[in-house]
Amino acid sequence: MSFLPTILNGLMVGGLYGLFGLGLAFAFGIMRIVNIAHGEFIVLGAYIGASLLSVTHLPLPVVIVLVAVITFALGWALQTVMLNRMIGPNPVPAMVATMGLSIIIRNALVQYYGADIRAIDIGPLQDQGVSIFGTSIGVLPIIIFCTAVLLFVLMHLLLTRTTLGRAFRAAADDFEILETLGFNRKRVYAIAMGLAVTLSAIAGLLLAIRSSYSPYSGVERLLISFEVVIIGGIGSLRGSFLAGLFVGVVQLIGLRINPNSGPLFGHLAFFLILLAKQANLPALFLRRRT
Amino acid sequence: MNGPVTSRPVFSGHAGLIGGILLVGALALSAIFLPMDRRLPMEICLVLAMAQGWNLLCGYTGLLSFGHQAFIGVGAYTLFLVVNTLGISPFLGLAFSAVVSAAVAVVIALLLKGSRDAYFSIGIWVLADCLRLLVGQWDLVGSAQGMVLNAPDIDPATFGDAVFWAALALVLVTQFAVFGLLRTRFGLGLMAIRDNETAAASVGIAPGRSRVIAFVASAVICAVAGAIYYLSVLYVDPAGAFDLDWQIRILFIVIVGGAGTLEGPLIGTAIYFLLREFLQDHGGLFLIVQGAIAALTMLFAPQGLWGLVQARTGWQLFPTKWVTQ
Repeated sequence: MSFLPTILNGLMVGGLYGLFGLGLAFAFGIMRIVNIAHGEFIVLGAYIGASLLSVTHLPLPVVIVLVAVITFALGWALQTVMLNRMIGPNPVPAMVATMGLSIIIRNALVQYYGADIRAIDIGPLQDQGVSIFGTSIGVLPIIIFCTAVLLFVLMHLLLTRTTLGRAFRAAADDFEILETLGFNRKRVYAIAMGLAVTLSAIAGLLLAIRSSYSPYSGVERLLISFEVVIIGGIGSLRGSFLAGLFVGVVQLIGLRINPNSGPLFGHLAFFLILLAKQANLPALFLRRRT
Repeated sequence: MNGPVTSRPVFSGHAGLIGGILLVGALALSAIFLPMDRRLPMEICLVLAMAQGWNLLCGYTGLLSFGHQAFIGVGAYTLFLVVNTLGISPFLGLAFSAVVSAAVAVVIALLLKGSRDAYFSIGIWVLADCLRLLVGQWDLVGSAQGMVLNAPDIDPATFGDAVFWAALALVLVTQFAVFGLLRTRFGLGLMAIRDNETAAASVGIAPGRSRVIAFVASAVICAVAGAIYYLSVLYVDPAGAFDLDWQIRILFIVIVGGAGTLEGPLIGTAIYFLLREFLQDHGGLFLIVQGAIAALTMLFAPQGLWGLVQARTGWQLFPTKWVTQ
């Protein structure tokens, strides 16, 4: 019984987990806002995508772009209408408000689509596989993984090569200086939240193509996002990506060992790392080296 | 200023306290004497107790927990486990729920020692989810199917009333114990830590220890309330007892009513149950309205409804603010 296919699949799904974490970390890093509705936006991406696919029969890449545009608008609206009024040293109002929003989205999805578990069917591509290192792996997961990597690269380019990206990084450090340079802080925040929601919604749609989803999937996906953020750290694209891969692999190996365990192994690994960070193990090692 | 720790604080508004006692007394009497099914008043008492416990943590130490469903589940499962294995009276079993949940809370406090703000909120949420998944795998407690309380000496005629009295006693004790606690040196210290940790520490208050005590107290209150609730239905399962909906309910009540006030959870509980009773025929609409009210409260009255009233009028039914004379 080889664990190689499990690990490969874990890496493939981990790319998406990395995107979940990136979206959450982006909003937290720039605006200090913890978006509790993050998981619901991930699931919302899947529902919007599935509806577009079934109603319009457009090809998947076009649907992904449409979902990106719609969810960007949602994120923008969320920040402009609600969260821009709650910026401040106290993180509680924004957390409670987004928790309220998550309840609204979750139950609206139940009302409209029903509570049953769904899957997106995109045709013959779903069954094709190729052989890597002697183990068979689906073509679709590879394409999805490459999309995730592509989004990470695009984000990296956005943050390092464009004025907007520099504004984001400046906003994370010191928004007052940003304002003296003539940027509108609230608009920068609105764009950032739009991007954060877009990234997670696309990842949510891609995850829905390779696994199942329901209106209640949001909570589990939110917790995965948090685990990725805390393991990978805030403000590091590479950290989010690697942490996503780690959580993906741990979770799939856990499910292989005990099919009923759900996200338990991911949670436990997260706690070990959280404890290690609290005990400041890296510092211990570093001190010994110098 | 002459050091708030050494000079005796003088609480303002004792007239308010008389009003508060009258209000709580009237509510308790109506719960006892109004001719209705005792199950709803019992649930109201338990949810109010949970909210008041959670408020002690969130409103008075600033730690926003998203994982108190863990303690509700731990309390309920401890009760079922000791009653089924030791064969003791369920009401004696509540003491075990309190002790075990306190121990679990201490362990969680140690695990999350270095976590603040969002890290604490999410850390405890993940821990609660771990407990739900672990209990769902545990054969001794019936894994995902849950377990039935095995207490043959229960008299069905009086059992419902007995559970109601336990719930009423819990909520009254909680309301007045938290009130009393907040008026001690310890309670004033808690509020000082919430408002300015550095300043509080500089006058000799131990922030870490005070937070842990408040956390354990809130855990025990939620655990006993959860145990009484599941005792009343004689059945517990992990999906229900560790359900995030418990936490959402508590959070809604405290935040909408007004965190950091003892009156807020009373108002929040009233709003919650009125909404639920009015919208019970409309399925998911109740939850959507609940979410919308929580979000709108944060937008327009982040201090909660009672916070709004208090800012306008200065009323305190349970005066915990004090003035130096």
